[in-house]
Amino acid sequence: MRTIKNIRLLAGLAALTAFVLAWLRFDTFGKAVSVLAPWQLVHGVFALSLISAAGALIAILLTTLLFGRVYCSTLCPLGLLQDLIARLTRRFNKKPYHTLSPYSSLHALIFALAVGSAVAGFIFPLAIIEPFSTFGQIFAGVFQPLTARIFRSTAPILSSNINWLGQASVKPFSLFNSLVALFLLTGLTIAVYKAGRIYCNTICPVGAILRFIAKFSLFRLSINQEACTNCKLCEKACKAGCIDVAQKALDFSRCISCYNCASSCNFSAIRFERARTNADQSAFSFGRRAALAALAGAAGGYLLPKTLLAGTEPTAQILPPGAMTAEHFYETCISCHLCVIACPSSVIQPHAAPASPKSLLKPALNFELGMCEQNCNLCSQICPVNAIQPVAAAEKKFMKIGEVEYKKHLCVVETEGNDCGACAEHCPTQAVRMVPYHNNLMIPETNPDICIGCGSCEHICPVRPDRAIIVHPVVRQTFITMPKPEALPDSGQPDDFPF
Amino acid sequence: MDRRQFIALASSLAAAYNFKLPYRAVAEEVKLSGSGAAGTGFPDLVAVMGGTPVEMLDRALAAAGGLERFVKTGQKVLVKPNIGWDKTPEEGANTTPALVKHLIELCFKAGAKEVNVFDNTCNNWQACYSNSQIEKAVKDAGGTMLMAHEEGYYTELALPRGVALKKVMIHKAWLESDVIINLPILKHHGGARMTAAMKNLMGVVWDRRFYHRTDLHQCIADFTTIEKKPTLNIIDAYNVMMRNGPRGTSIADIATKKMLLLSTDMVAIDTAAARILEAKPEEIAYIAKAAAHNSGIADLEKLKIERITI
Repeated sequence: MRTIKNIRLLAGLAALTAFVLAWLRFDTFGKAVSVLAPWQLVHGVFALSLISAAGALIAILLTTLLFGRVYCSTLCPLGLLQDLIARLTRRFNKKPYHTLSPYSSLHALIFALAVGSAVAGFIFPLAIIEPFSTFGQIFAGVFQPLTARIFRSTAPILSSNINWLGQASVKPFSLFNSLVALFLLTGLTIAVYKAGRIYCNTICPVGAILRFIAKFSLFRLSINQEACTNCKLCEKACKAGCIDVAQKALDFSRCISCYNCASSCNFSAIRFERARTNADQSAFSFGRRAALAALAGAAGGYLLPKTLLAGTEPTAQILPPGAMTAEHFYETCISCHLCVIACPSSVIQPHAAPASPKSLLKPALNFELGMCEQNCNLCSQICPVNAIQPVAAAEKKFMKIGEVEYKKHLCVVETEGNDCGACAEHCPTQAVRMVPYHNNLMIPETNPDICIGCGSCEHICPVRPDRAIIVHPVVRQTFITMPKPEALPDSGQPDDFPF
Repeated sequence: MDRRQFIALASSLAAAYNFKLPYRAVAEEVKLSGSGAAGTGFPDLVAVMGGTPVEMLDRALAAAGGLERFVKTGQKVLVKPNIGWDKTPEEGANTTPALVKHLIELCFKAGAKEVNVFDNTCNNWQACYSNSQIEKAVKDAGGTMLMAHEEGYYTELALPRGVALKKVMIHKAWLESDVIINLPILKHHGGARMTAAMKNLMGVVWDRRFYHRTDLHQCIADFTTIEKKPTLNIIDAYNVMMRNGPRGTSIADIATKKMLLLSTDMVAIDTAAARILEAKPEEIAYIAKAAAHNSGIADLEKLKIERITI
């Protein structure tokens, strides 16, 4: 058993390290996410149409059916984060873990409410409790902003040569989002401190699914009646609180497969064995009350947002390229904020001020720190739930995510009578171009048909407080067609110098 | 750990991180035509036509008396190409990487201690550095790419003679270099009409929006009043973006002119460059404004121009 535990420990440590590094420095460690995210249950469910995602989902479910919730202690970033919190707080926490009641009905109710609501088009409740997104929110809201700012402030003092510290990119800060993340982190820490992995067996929707399957696992941990001396060491070691020594019972449906119980036992009384009967589990199984709670939750979760949120459409925002429509994006995005920390030009920002419950915590584009780079399609490639649908790099160049509006009365060419041209200079398609104006001046002219809404013009416009050129959202993301360029009148090499 | 060990450890860590103490640069202004003991007889402006960028640079430098006139043994050199855009070399938005590489190699041959390269890019800086292929060219030649994407790399400098631009946040490397070689690519520019030598120097400044908001032409001209000027200006006019600049929409905007200009006079070289761009120098306001600052001579009639055709 000790070997199994050590393997679990190593696998979990590797996965947690990869997740943390990827979230803190996506530029260097981002590849770790592309390896790990496809093995997240949420990816399997949301991207089911992909063969790879369906395969991953089946693999996770089969593993659970065979050996229990191995997933929870090796692949789940939030489960691993809880283990880390447990380890860090143990030196202050002298109280051992204790048996927890199963909370089957509560868990079923929460799961059904969140899923029902997501099906009804309001995914926020699911997004706030789903472990991958909760982990993402915590790291994108608290730790990434902190580390990036430390890197950024130290790098110029040390050296201006290209170096790793200086390559850290600071993302647009959203106070609201960071407060939510801090709240989640605090809540999680208190829960872990008081009752170990109680989140996993009360709130977590992935836990709810795996818990239901683990009830029927072929191989499971159980207490050997003859060998057990009632010393309760295992009970005190169990983070999930699923061992009740008084009853000599181990509820494997709630076991998160950390194997700490087995390694704590001095008499090898906890063994991994082929399940004999399901009868001994009856005390913990999902009963009629849980089933009723699930039904009520599903109905409530589906109907409540339908009635309460009718007519509260979010104000239009410029969405990441691949979001297609606001409807699709807001109904699918689980707010993991992977796109936020990955965006190399730092234009994807979680909503600073949520305008509607539907857009709560969802990212949108903000051109303060940069523009949506024409050659970049990273966010569409990494979104684990395809809220940002994959767009090939060549197509992304001409993907229209917004449309330009030029406000001549604010422009310095008009107000100051000076040449500027910053907007046209940055425009990748010349949807904004400079045309002759009076007094040998050049003034911007826009052609919305070939505008891709990348925000380059808005980003660079020097006029404050209100910029003279801004980008508006579009209802549906489309593709522009660039006109065929005319050949230059004379592109041959001149015979002589023109001076 | 005793004191010696600590100092050894700290300095090796600093060395591993490329830590550098501020450097007091010794700048010397050399006039291309030559003056005093160095003797005269060199031209004010060298124009080459017909070869590859590398060939043309060699011929231009030979006519200018060799790079050794400008780069001395043990000096720190800053080469400032245009790396403003996330574009490939074929798209003509950034300086030709082969030219950057060759110039850096020549600097080292002339005895340079180190050669640094940077640009305050318009697109994402890492994408610009890598897709322009200038980062690779610099590394291959033994030079160093610097970061320029944070305000922390810049320092404030007063421009007492400036009309609109009275102070500027300038990259520290400018002040810490003995020799500065301005290496722009010639392009059409929607706002400034043309980007060549003087406009390229906006890439060593932190706040570009101030230029655009205040008076673009005057600010570009004001920057040339800076005490420490580029030692040498070399304009890459091999592939010239004739319209839709400075970013360009397709390679249909590019004309192959196969030219290269070299001068110590920013105003003169930009005036000649405007002619290559088929623009009227008198319509590019910053040229006249810089000439009014006595930063150079805009009247090509008054200059000794050496024209070389390969």
